[in-house]
Amino acid sequence: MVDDAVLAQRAAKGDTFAFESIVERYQGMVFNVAVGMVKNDDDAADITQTVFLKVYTKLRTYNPNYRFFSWLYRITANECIDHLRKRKREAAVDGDLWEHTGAAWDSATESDRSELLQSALLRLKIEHRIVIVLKYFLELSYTEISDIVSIREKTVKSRLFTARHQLRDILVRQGQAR
Amino acid sequence: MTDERTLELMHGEIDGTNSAEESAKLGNLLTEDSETRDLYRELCEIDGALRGIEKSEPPPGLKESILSSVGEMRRRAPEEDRYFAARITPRRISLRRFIPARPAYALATGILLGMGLCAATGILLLRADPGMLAGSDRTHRPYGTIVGSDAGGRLLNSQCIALEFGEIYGGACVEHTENAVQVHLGISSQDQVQIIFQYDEEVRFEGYSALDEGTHTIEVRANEAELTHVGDCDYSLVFKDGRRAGSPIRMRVLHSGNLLFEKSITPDEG
Repeated sequence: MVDDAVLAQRAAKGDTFAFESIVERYQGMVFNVAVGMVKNDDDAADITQTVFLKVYTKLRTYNPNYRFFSWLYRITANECIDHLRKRKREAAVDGDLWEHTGAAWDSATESDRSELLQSALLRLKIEHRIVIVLKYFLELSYTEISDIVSIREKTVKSRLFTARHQLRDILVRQGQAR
Repeated sequence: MTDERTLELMHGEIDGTNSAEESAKLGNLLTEDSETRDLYRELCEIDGALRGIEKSEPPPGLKESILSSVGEMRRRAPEEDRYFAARITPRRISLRRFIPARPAYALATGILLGMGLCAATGILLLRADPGMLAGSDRTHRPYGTIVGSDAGGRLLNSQCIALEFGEIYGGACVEHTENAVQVHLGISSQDQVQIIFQYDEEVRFEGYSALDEGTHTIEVRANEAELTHVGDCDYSLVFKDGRRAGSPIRMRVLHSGNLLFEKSITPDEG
C-alpha cells in the first residue's frame, strides 16, 4: 500500500488519483469521527466533505515528516468543534435520553445501549467527547490522541477518565433514577 | 466513596496500562468493597458498549461528492491546478524549448519536432487497426483526429476508480456517452503491467492518446484491447459504442500474470 505521505505529496502536485485514494482510504474514518461528535449522518457527511476540501487546499502545507492521519484528524476534530460551536447542538439534547428507547441502561439491549451511549456522548463537553471518539471510534493510543488534540498525554488520560465517568453517571444513574 | 487512586487503577485496568502490581492491587480492592466493585463493573460496561458501537458507513456517493466539489474548486482556480482539465483535454506540450534561435531553422525544426512529438506522445488520436500499436517505437499511424470530449455525444455517466496495488498505483475515470466510452487512465508502475479492456460486439476500439512519456504498447484483438505499460503515464482511450445506450466495459489489471483488479463498468453505476 502506498504510504500516506507519498499520496499526500502526489496529491499536492495535482495528482487527482492520489487525492481520490486519500478520500477512499479515510472517508469512513472521518465520517465516523463526525458521527460520533454530532450524531447526525447528514451533518457528518457535510463535515466530511468540508474536511476533505480543507485537506485539499492545505495539502501543500502538509509536512511529510509528521503522520498524515494525525494531520487529517486534527483538521477533522477542529471542523467538528467548529460545527458544534456554530450549531450549539448540545443545548438541543437536554431532553430525556430514555424517551427514545424506553429502556434503562441495566435492562437495555445491546443496540439500545449503543443508541443511549451515542446520545449520552452529546452531553459531554466537546473536549471530553473528542477523546472518547478518537479512543473508541478510531482506536487511537494516548500518544496519537495527544498528537491530534495537541494536549499532553497525561491530559488525554485524565479527560478519558472524566469522560467515561461522566458517561457512567449519565447512563447508569439517570437510568436507575427513572 | 471510591478514592482517586482507586479510580485511576480502574481506568488504567480498562485501558490496559496497569502494571501487574497495580492490577493485583485493584483486584484486592474489588474483593474488599462492593461499592468499588459495582462502579468498576459499570465502567467496564460503558467501555464494552463504547467498543461495541457499530461503525457507520459513509453515505453512497460521498466520495464522488467530495471529488466533484474539489473539481469545482479547481475549475475556479485553473492556474492552481490543471489536472481535472487534463482529464478532458489532452495535455499540451510546449515546443518552445526545442526550437533553435534562427527563424528558418526554427520553423522547420518546430514543424518536425511537433510532428514527432505528436506521434510519440499521442496527442493525436491513433486510429486503431487490429494489431499492435507501440507507443515507444513510433510504428503507429497517426490519423490526426484529436480526442475530444465531444467524441461521444451526451454524457450518460462518469465514474472514477482508484487503482492502488502497492507500488503499482493510479486510477481510471470511465465516461459513458451515447455513442462512446472514454477511459481516462493514469498509472504509475516500475514493473510492466497489463490493463485489458474487454467489450461487447457492438463496441469497437477507436483509438487512444498517451499524455506522458513512458513505454507502452496497445494490442487490439476482437472485443479486447490490451495496454502494456511501464513507467508513469496518463492515457485516454476511446471506444465507439454502436448500442447507443451505453455498453459495459470490463477492465482488468494484471501484473506478472496475477490479476490485481477486475471490474465491469456499466453506465448505470456510480
